[in-house]
Amino acid sequence: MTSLLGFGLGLRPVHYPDILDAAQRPRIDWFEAITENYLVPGGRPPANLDRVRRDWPVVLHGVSLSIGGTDPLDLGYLAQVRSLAQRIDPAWISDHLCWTGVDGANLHDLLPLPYREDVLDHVVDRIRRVQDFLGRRLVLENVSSYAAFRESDLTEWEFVSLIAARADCDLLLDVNNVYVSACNHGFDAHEYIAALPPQRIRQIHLAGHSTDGDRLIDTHDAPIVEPVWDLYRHTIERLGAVPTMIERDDHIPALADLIAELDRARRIAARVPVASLAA
Amino acid sequence: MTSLATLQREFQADVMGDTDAATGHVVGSSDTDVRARLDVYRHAYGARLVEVLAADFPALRGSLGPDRFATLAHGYVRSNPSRHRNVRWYGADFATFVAGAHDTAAGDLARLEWMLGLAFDAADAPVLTHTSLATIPPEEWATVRLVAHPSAQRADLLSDTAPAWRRIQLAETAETIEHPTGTTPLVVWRKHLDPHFRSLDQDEAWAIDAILRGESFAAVCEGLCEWHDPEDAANRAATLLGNWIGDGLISSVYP
Ligand SMILES: [Fe+2]
Repeated sequence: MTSLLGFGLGLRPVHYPDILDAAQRPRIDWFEAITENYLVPGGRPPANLDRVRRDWPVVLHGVSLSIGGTDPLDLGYLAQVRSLAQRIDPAWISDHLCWTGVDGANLHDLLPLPYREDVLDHVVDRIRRVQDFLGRRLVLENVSSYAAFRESDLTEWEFVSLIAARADCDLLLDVNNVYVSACNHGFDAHEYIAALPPQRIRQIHLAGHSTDGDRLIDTHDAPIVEPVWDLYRHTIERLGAVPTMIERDDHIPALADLIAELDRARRIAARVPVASLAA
Repeated sequence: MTSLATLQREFQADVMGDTDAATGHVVGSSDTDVRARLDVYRHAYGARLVEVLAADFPALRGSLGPDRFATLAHGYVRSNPSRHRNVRWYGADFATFVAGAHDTAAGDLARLEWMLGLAFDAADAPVLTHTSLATIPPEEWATVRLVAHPSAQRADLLSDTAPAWRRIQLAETAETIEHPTGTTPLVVWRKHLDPHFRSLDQDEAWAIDAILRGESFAAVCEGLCEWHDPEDAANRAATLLGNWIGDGLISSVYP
């Protein structure tokens, strides 16, 4: 398995020319590819991913595993993911701690789960089966949410930590998602991050969001806001140098602009005292 | 306690539809707050799928204008919940929907765009060259079959479809499709990683259909006699084959 360190970006087709045909290799340590974008028969998408992979480490990031769903696991989809992983040799495979649809439908969204014991058991069982199928640990990401359920009796951070411990999976900590959900539900983002098991956090996501009235929406369409940078600084003071990347899905700026934003993450990480990195 | 499956069914019904199926499950400071929270998911659902369609059918959107396109796309989203893991395939039935809900001209433009999309990421396969064609011994031509590239697709579309598509590529203004009578045969395929299409004469359209059905090259030559004298038919078949090889439409031959 490839190891991965440093600062990455979400691989977006609009940036292919600047990544693949640039005279100078852009200052990016690795890329995160959206799994589904490459689960197509052939043509440019897989060809471009192969070219990127020749020069960079890659992680695969799925959006439709529906690990928290109640439909049976989609073995056809998992077989496609497995064969893509055999070809690409990603450092790891991630998806989201959520569900995406039921009764065969897919809402193409990352939907929230109620946080309670029976759901914990259900999701842990499915993660174990997926990990057995893929022959590797899954990395699961906390999602942004706008609704919380009455029938929840755990906090989100308790739920996430228990999932990781019981399923023996790893975590992708999306700092912006913690911030967005903290604002939407009125919890303390620092308390959330402090409660997570540090040794399981393999990757960090940073992103921008938008505001709709008094709610924050995880739109990935804007630069990272100051409070999220503060939360990131706080996070790596606690976790150390976790591989970090920026996600941008709308109003995608030039690659150079995203690299400049990524450089800010690099500077923040560089200033974190060595003592706290070792702790 | 509501089972997870029931909770998800009611949440999904709320997100997809106009019923308040999930309001009883969600925490909020008031009924309005609960509805507003669920509306984030409901609005995002429609908006996301309409955006996917807009990205897959840019020429249709250019032709109808953003408002008429959005109305059609929302109609499709309401009647076509996604059954696909990969949103790439969500628009598969959009052309048929557009033909029914709008008109055939718009439907055919959507069909052309969907075929171009299929060509874009169809399976990879080698492309037969003139050199390797020359190595086939003459006696084998009686039985040889040509295998089309996996990206190759055939359709007969209203005659203004291809010109309308080209006009929209050149000018980004809204463009009405003309409604001539009659259809033009087209072939769509991928060449050097990019989708292409061209219009065909009736005999070539028939010949490509025959190859896609798996008929032998000899049967293709014979079938061309419907349009040509037997002697000319063989020449015509050779000319067509030369063009197909040049276009990268043929992947391989098998005896
Ligand atoms: Fe994320």
